Amino acid sequence: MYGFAQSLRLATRALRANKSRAFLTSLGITIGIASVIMVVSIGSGAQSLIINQVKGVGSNLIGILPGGRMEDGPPAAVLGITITTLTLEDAEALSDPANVPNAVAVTAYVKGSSIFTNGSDTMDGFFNGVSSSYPEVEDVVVADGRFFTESEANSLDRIVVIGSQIAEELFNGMDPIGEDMRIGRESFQIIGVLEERGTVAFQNRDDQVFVPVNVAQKLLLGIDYVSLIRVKVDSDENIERAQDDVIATLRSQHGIRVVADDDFTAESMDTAIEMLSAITNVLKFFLAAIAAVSLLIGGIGIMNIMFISVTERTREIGLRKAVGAGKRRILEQFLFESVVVTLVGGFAGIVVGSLISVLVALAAQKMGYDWDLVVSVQATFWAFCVSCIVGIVFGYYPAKKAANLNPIDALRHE
Amino acid sequence: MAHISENIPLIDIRGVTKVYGASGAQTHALRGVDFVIHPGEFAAIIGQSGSGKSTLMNIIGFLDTVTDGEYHFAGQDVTSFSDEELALIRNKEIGFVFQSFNLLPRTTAVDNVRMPLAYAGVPEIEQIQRAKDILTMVGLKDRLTHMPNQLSGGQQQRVAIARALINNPSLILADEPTGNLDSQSGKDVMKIFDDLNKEGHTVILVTHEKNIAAHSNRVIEVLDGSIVSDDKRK
Repeated sequence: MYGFAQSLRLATRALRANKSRAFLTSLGITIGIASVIMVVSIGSGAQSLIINQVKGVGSNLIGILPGGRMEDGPPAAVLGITITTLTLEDAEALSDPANVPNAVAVTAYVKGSSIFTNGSDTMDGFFNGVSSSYPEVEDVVVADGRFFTESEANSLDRIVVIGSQIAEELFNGMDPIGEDMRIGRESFQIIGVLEERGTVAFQNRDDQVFVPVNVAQKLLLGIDYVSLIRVKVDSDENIERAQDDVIATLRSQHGIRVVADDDFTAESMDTAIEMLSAITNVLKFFLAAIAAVSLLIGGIGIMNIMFISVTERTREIGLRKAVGAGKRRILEQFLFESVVVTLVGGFAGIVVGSLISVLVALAAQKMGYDWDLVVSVQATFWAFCVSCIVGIVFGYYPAKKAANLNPIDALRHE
Repeated sequence: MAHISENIPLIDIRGVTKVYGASGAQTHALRGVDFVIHPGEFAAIIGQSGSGKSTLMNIIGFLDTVTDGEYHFAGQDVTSFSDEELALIRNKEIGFVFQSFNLLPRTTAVDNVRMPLAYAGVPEIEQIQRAKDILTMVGLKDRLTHMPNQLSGGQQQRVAIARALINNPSLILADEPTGNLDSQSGKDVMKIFDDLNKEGHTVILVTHEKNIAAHSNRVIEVLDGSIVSDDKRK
């Protein structure tokens, strides 16, 4: 034990005598550990951002997209292919309590982009055709005025509910309720302004307008299908049953008898989040694996420097042997040197990595993203363990080489 | 470990040979050497370069092993000692002084001198105190915290001598100790060896200079791996 402490002291003294070399060696480990911690943290933060965005749409939702799914791949509609199998009649069938008793609200969606005009002010934006129960489905609050009713929607009234940003930009603080605005060439009367919502599912919802879905279909788009239907279910535990009901209803609507012929895809929000988590987890581990490679390179750097160090200090080793150092003491000294270098480097890496993770999270939060700060204790722990192992493993071979030198050969080394 | 007594020879070497290289390309550095050195002697091993005198010194100092023959150190057969045992005997019994000083760079005089004590398991405070004492003894009281590159050649060799003496060895081995020094520094260093011998230390010098060998009271001449003369003057 005493010899151990002596070897440790000798190692630290030798490192202090070669500060710049020790610093450069530990830098490799610092960068390796810092990047592992940073990448894992940023990966988790990005994952939280993605999932929070999707959750922001609302919970207890079942989404129905047109087109079946291929094997376990995503629904075709996600890939940007236009499929016309979903209609407004489907949405109506789903709102019938006889078909889906657990549904509390159903809305269909169509979407397009256009130019919004008020007098001489214009702006580009998206218009949405939705059903009258849209605010209930997505938990949207009308800040001013009201949303349109079912009968207004059915009677093809040219009425519109606008996002808060449109109210600001086109009406400059004036009350837009009761005013007219144009979507493309069609004129609409504004009946409500939505509360500010920010970015949800990576879309700014405040520069959009909402019109009755059949008005959007006939007047603005000239289509007879819908691109999405969402069903809000009364509670979490009924989601699965409601999903089965939705599928059964749509099959009978479309006259489908074989599962493989499904021309729609119904997924609950939970499933979507699970899928997203699975995808982002893979990404996270992939990134961590890349960071781990940099740690490995740091370890090889240590081995290189230790080899150079052993060669450079062959005479020193010979001298130490001449004055009474046995193999074990030389082995210990050089092993301790590399372990001390990796530990110091590893510790600095943890500090730097955590610091950068915090800065990235703060910056993301400042920019308005729903980004969680996650400094993984597990990743930190493993990074530290790995740095110790790297020090021992990559330090052992050069240390062994030093210890096995014949004293007189070492002393004569030029 | 070794019990130093006037009656038992400190070094007793019999029929020692040393062969380098694999069969076919062998070099015979020593071809059967016998000699005995008693405690308190001051011996010089002389010879031309390549004569085998350095090999002989390395074997005496346990830096190298014999190919054949016997080596008794203070009555103990050390021929079959293990690496760790040899390290211990080098630490406790031998003080080396080299031609090229072999001080650790960027390391103070005190830290250089106390190195053997670290391997002997002496507490650090005692190491430092003893290093300071012995550096004072060799006249470097005001150079304790100097680095080797801040010292002259003669001063560096005195640091090396202090390091050789610090663990109170029974034998001081010096390999061309004045070879890298100017004549005045060389004289100063030789004076230290003279004084050490007068105090009772056993000293063996390896040199090719006759005037350096003249400091000793016994000159052993090596030629082609054999002792050709052994001249005791006292």
